Amino acid sequence: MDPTVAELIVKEHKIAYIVTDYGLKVTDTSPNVGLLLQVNAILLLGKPLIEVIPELGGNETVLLDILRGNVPRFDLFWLNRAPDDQQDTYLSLVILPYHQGLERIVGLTVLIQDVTPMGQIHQLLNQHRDELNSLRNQLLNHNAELNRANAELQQLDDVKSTFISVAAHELQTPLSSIAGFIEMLSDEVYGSVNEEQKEALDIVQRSATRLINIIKNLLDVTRIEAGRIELALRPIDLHNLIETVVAEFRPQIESRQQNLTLNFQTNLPFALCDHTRTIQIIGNLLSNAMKYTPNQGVIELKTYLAEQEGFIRFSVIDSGVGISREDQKLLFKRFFRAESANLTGEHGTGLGLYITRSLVELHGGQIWTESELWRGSKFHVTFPVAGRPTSLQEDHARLRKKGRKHLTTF
Amino acid sequence: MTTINKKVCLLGDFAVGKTSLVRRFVYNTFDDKHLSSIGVKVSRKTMQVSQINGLTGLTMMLWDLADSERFDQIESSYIRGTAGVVLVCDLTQARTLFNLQTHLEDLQQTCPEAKVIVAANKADLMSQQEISPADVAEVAAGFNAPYYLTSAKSGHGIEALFRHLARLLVD
Repeated sequence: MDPTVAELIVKEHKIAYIVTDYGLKVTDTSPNVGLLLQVNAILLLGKPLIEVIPELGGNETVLLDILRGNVPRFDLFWLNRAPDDQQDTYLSLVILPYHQGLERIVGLTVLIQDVTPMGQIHQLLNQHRDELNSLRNQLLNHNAELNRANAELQQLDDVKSTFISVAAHELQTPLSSIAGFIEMLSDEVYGSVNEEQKEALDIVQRSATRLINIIKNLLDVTRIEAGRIELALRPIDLHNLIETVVAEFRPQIESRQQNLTLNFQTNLPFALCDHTRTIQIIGNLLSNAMKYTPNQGVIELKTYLAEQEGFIRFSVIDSGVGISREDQKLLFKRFFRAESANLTGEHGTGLGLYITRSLVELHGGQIWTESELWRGSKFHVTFPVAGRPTSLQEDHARLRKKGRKHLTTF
Repeated sequence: MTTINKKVCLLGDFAVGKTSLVRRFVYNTFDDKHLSSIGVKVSRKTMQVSQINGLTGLTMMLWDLADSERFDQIESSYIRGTAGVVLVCDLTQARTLFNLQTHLEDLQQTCPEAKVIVAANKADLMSQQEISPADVAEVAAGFNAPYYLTSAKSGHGIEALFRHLARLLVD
């Protein structure tokens, strides 16, 4: 190599060297070694290498291995040589055998490079890594605390659910007994009652029924939250079920002079449902429609194949008070009652739709609403189809072709 | 008086205060700002240790090693020849105490004979402590090593820690 170029490289890259003899004593140095090691270079001659570069302490065996030709080189990176009150300066060391002739090793060559700029970047990267790790650890700690708090809350929630469940069970039995005796009194099993007494008994009976329904709802909520509701799924003709529920509500609908329409898609496949729970779902939705639709208002029950393959959609459409956009977001939450529902004066605990949603989701279906305040509501529920998807697709195609509907009006 | 040199490494997770311990011990200074270390910085401190046959001068070559993500060839080059080790944990970070086991295993791969002492640092941050002295005592006993509660900020326990290590090194 051109000596001028070599000198330039050494100078520009801040590279210095030390040469030792076989006894690891310094025999030669480059002029700039003093600058890099911050010592007087002349004083280094004759000194043990380990004394000049204490960072090599402990690696004497490796140095001897290089002298013996057993190891080709030894590297040490990022030696911080800054005095305590000064900015960090970093050196890297490469220790190689020093040859005399082609084969004979007579000492070591120590190449020292000032790598401060790279070291400072490396230090910054480490700093950021450490800060990120600190943040991660803090997050982990916060998460652990949240998990602990969550577990405590869960425990409290379990205690609360158990309390409600026990209390509701204890109330249900005497209430059922009260309702039964009132019914017998009304039916004049224990003697005749006059009109005024009958009216009073009717009020008591309605109140007892309301209380029983509230208790049933509370029990359902505790069962849902404890994951203790089991469905007996079987193929069910949804139309039959809807008609059964409608029959139950018929007297009330007629007394309110509401116009109920059943709009069923013909040849609808069976739904995979739990009989009792599906009656509850349909009943809850129909009851709400009836309660929040004014006298002479319109209620429509619709069934059809859902857009989502493998599902049947059941919709309850009414011309009732409707639900505001804000309330729609909270409608299926526990104990929530829409502002418009409160205005009607109808009683409610805010559990019906929560239970309905939970039951629908247990079936694998979905529930949602479309509504506008004072302009009625549409509640949509999907139930899974019982049977293979292929037959469902066939049904879809067949029904689209025929487009037949079955309409019943009360 | 004879003087001997011994290499002492400080090992522990990042930000437990290894550099601060060295600074307090060697230069009697402290800086609250945490600056991550890279590579190694060697500092010297000479102490006199009394023995039955008189005083012995001990120059501790204190190797402040950066915590690396994994124990590799480079770190083993730094640790080689270590006579004593200060395993440093942070009383405000429980995981740093449990990670001492890994640092000890790394050390024992290269220097199984090294004397070990545990420094449970940041004792001044009383309200933030996640580990108790009893936890530290239990872990240190598992290593068969003495331990000290230290504070690089106040200087508490540091002189005693290194003096104890010095005695282990000259005995």
